[in-house]
Amino acid sequence: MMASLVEEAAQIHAQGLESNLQGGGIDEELELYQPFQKDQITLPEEVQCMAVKTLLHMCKIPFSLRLRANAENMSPSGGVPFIKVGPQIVSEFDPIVEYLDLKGISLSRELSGSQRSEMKAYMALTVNRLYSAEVYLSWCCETIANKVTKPRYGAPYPWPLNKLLPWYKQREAKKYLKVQGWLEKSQDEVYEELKMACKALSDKLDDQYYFFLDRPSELDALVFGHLYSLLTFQLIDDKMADIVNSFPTLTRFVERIQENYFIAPEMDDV
Amino acid sequence: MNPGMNPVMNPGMDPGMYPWDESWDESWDEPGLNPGMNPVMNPGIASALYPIFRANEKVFKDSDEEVIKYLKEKNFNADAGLTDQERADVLAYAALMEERLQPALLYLWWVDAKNHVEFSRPWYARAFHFPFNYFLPGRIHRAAEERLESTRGGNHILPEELRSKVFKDAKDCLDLLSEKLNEQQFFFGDSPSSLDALVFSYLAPILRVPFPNNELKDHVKQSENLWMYCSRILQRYFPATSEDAAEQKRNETMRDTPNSLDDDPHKVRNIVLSVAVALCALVGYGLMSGLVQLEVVGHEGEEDDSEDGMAE
Repeated sequence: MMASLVEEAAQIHAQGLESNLQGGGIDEELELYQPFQKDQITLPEEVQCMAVKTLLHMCKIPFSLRLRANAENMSPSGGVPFIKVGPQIVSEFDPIVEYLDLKGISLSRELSGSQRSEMKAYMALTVNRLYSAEVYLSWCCETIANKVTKPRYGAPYPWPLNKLLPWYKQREAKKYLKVQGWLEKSQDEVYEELKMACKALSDKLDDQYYFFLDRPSELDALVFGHLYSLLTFQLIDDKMADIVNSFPTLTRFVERIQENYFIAPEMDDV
Repeated sequence: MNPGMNPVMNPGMDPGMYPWDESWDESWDEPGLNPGMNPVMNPGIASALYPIFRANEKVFKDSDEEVIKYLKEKNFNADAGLTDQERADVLAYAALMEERLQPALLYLWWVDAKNHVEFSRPWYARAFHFPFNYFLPGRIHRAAEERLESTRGGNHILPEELRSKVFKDAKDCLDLLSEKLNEQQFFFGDSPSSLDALVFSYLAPILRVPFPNNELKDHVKQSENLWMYCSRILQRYFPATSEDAAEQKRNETMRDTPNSLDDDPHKVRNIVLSVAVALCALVGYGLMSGLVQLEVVGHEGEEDDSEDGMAE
């Protein structure tokens, strides 16, 4: 009796594993939570959300977008966006990639070892340089911080909070930059870093359709998220967009991905 | 600029090129390094900025990029033979290591309790001059903790979680590097580039610094190509000259004796000091409470009496 029960349990377990290995995918509805796009989200958050959305589109996973003013506080790691599948909540780009990989959905499965190594390296470059530059420009460049980032970040809150919370967030951002050694950089140096990172990406992409092979990888999603937001996010000046625009390879890449994965009406919804 | 400098021995190959430069300053015999050049020992510079690079009149601090730029201007460019794509790779892998490997090294140096208490703190304290040895190691320790905390998921993370996260990242990164290096001599074929210098600067401390607790060393040893690669670079660019060998021998022989000698005077001094302090406290207490005074007077009287008695 006991033995048969154990056997049965083992069988069920094995079946479960199998279906996972076969890439059972995600059965339940996937919800993506993020702050309001139009008047709340800040540039670094927008970048992250865009990257995750692109990733999901590339994996062909349907998802429904949930806009919440307090998405940041709902997220387990304090970063947006996060996805909710049934009872599971996963936040931010890298953990989401890992989560999908566990579910048998991966964009980089067919890459060779050295290609995957390169992909990870370029992803680190994107995060380390582009993201830091975005945080720096949004929070440490006084005019942008005061005129764009802070009002947007404080938008959903009433009076004392809409001054306090952005101030608190700015302190956090400065701390992040300080430990990365970016706080002492001047604005021009940051633009220079941005330019160098873009040049590296553009050199790597060259005239290929995607970064690796003939199919999209996580790197494509991440890079698109960054570049698209840099190109379209309304800041005071267009300096960042100009830098990206000076690399035609990259702008063509952004246009291509946009056409392939973001159909026009959907963009309007977002 | 030293005119004899070999361009192949490129800027990056300078051991001062990596963020852990201060680690090389003394105590174990890294060929090609002069402990006397230790910036820490220079009392004027206690700002903990390394490396310090002096060429003619110019002095650079804490900025390997600036130094490389300067050397490029002088036509010492290690990356001259690379294609644009390879140069992009250099930047990408530099970012990868900064993102993944550097936190683990910080952890090994300053956050791991055993390493910190038994190794890095006393070691640094020895290297700094008197007032600095008390607060500079602590300051570096706090900076490292702060950095790990804010790049690895905020302050709600548990210490054990942080540890496993940091080392998982680092091991992933080492695997990626090993994958990229493959069977090649250097990262881009047969000649070194600035990426090789950078990678070596991360790997060398893992392999050579005698940490009491070192999770990463075994991992590097396991990936044979990285291990071979390190010994190759050591052999080629930090060769032990006969002078070095002689010095090493001298150091080795000195190490057994002077080390114990070195510690001994401290011990004696400490004992003397503590005895002196204890005595002072005792006598002070006696005087304050009036005990000693009474005794002394009484004693003197007795002595006088007895002496008198003897005399009589």
